[in-house]
Amino acid sequence: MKRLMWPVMLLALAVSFVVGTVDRPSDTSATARVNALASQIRCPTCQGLSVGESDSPLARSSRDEIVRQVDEGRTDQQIRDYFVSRYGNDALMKTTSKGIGAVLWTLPGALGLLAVVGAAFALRRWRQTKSAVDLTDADRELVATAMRSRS
Amino acid sequence: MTERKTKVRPKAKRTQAIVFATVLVIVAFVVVLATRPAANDTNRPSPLVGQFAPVVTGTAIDGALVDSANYRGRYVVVNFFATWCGPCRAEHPEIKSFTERHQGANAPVVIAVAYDDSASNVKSFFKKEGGRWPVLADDDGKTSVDYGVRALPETYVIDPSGLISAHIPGQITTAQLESLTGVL
Repeated sequence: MKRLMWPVMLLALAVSFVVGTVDRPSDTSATARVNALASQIRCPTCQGLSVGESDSPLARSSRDEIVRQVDEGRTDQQIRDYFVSRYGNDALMKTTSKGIGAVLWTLPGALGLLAVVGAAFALRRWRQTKSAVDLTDADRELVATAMRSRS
Repeated sequence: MTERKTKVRPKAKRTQAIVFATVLVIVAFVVVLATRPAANDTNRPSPLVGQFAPVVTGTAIDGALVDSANYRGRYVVVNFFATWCGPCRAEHPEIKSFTERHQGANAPVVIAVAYDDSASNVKSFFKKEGGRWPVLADDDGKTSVDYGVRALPETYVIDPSGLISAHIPGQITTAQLESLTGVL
């Protein structure tokens, strides 16, 4: 049971990481799609805002373009690709999992995993060390005798 | 007298190596993040360079029909501007000089796209400052988004085969336009 604990914990960590980063299926109504896409596309002239959050002229034009493309029947991925083809990878609020984006996504996770594994090893070693210096009854008796003889 | 030697134990060596590797990875991560251009950096290179240019089409403010596809075989300069934008006003004489110096059947063509501006403002600006190139009013911003415009002014050069050969964010000069359209 003890042996299984760490693999199970690591598996749970990996699963939660994947669940947290994978897109959930979204509402398919046109308005919901437009809103969802607007929240994913970065406002080209703002600091850290999506086109859905900003009211700058370019953000408004980008929202209009999303509406137009949804009406034309384009898929969410095609619309995202359109903005990436115009503004580059940073057009998306969420970094893509290609090129340098892949490093940005995986590195924190890998470091976290490394830290957990390191902590597991350290804990295991600490337990072994602790058990190595456990006192026996004879040791305690010896200490007690020594204390009595001093007093 | 006994000589004391400081020996690094294998365990300590391993710990040092792990710490060193971790610090190295973190430093590399920070360097990558720090050297990437900000998402709202207006001087970012456009991913459209080397790609086929989106079509610029519509009715110009003076009523003429404009379609960039009709100028295949010539250089086309697409200039995004607004009359309320200072650098746009400053570069206007440069574009005017460029169009006056290069005329004829094969000369480069300039098409301006007025973004977030009114037709009346554009008309009075051209009347006052001069300039005889077509200006499209990009009322819905479609053309500007199509070209990935971030900040005005921005200029794109389309080569005779229809590919975008240059993107110039910010104010442009006559010399730049001449160099980029091969008329120097």
